[in-house]
Amino acid sequence: MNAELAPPLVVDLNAWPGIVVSVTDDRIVASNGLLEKLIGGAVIGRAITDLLDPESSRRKWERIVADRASDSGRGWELVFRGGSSLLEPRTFSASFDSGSDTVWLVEHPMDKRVAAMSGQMEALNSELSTTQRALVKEQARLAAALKDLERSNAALDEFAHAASHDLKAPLRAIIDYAELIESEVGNDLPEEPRSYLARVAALSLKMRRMIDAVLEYARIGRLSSSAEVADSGQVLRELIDFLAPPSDVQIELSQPMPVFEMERVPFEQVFRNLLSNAIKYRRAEDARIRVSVADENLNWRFVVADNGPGIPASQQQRIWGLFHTSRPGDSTGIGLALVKRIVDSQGGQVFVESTPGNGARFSVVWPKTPRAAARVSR
Amino acid sequence: MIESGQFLDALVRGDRRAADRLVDGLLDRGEGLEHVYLEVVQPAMSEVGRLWQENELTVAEEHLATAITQAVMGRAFERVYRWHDSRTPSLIAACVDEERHQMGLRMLCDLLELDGWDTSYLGASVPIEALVSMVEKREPEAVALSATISPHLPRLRAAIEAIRGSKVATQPLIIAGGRALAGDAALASRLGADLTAKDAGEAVEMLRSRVSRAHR
Repeated sequence: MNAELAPPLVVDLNAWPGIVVSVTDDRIVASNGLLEKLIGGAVIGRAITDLLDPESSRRKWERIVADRASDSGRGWELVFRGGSSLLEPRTFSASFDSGSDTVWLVEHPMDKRVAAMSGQMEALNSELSTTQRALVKEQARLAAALKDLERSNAALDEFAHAASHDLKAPLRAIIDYAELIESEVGNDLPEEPRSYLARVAALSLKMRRMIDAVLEYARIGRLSSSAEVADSGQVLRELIDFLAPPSDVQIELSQPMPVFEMERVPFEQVFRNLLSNAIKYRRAEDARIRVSVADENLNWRFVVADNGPGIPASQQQRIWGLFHTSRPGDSTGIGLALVKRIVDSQGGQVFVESTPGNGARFSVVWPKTPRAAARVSR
Repeated sequence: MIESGQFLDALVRGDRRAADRLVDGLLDRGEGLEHVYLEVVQPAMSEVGRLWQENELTVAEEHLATAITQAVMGRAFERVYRWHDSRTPSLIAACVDEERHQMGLRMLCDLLELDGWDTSYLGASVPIEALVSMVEKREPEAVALSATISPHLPRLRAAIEAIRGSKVATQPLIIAGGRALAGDAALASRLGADLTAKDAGEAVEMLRSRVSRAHR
């Protein structure tokens, strides 16, 4: 480097690139040798405009020259041409030698950690913005899907209501006509046709019960119901009183039973069905039913256990299906399907374990916190 | 453009709230996202680039302006976006280099999305294999690629070649853009792209007319 020119800045010239450039012809007249390493090649004698990235930095050189008079002491961020490692701008100070047409360009030491951190922040910010966009799309898609679902639920409700209404009217007429025939000519009929008439009436009544049950099934989970704090032991005792089990059936509730915030109507529907099933499918003598509860962090696990005939393994999955019953004569086969649908809609789970001959255990996992919709509607 | 000038002021001051307020006001007044992006945000960001060249802004200030703009765009898009079904045609957009301020691509995606396109904006530094497998999986009608600086043009060419070699029933239309191409159609076609645009607005127009003919 030119020894006659003293470095104008207090920096270690062995650590940071420094060059002296002529303002008259843009040529580099001196260098401390570090810029050469950076761009890989000689720089003395070359025009600085050829070394700078044309897109970002050539104009800056013109500004540096134009700025000469004011010499504001600002740093200049310059990008040199070359490989991609040179693309990060480097900050140079520009100092003019008084009375001569040369300028010293010396790079400012920069804190690499700050630079690395700012790079990280920038990358994070971009990722965040890309992710946020994907999230906005997904959210909009879900909102549209929810609207569709609400529409189809409403349509289903309407369908179930209309269908059950339209089916029940002719059914009512069938029952009425059967009764009419029975009262007008019943006594004159031979025994066999008379028994057919009785079957028509009984089956029509059963069909009406099934239609009502389907309607109820279709509505579960969509009926608005509000949550209240209730004593589950008290609710179960009232249910048992209502079911009025025969005197040979012993029903026992374990103590204590939890008091918690629940949607009371669906809770009652579930246990009314489980208890009445346990009573209906009891053993001939010494029938016992026991209801117990366990605390499972976020849920209560209620167990209804009986000592009835149990359920064969082959049936244990099928019992949850609509219209499945082992006694087609006196059951609509909707009870357990209702139970499962209600428990699912509450965000819970229901299971059965049974060894034929040794009773059945129905476990109901019921969330301690009611559904958001139930809480909001309070 | 007064609004663009006000937006630029907010960016230069690093005042994100002011930038948000300005764009919120425009949307409240019924201006569309296209106006906000192309008439307000884009000119302000070009001006930020010019101010850096004039040495009026530092790189740090430019980065802050970019971050604010990304956030403002995110908010604006969220406000106006509504899902509609049967989203076709589709577009995949990616930057082949590490340049992280790809606002042009983001604008392109957002504006087409409002037209009913299904766009996937993959962001920066997407590995070529990942891009190709995405193209094979989604079979988009168009792929938009951008490169900001000339040293990344070979990477852009490699990405285009890889897409051309992908196993798809119909080759997507490839549109390439970014500062490194500066809307130079000859350069873009030498690299294998079908189209190039100088900015997001032009790219939106091109894709609207080119793809709509085949798909509507």
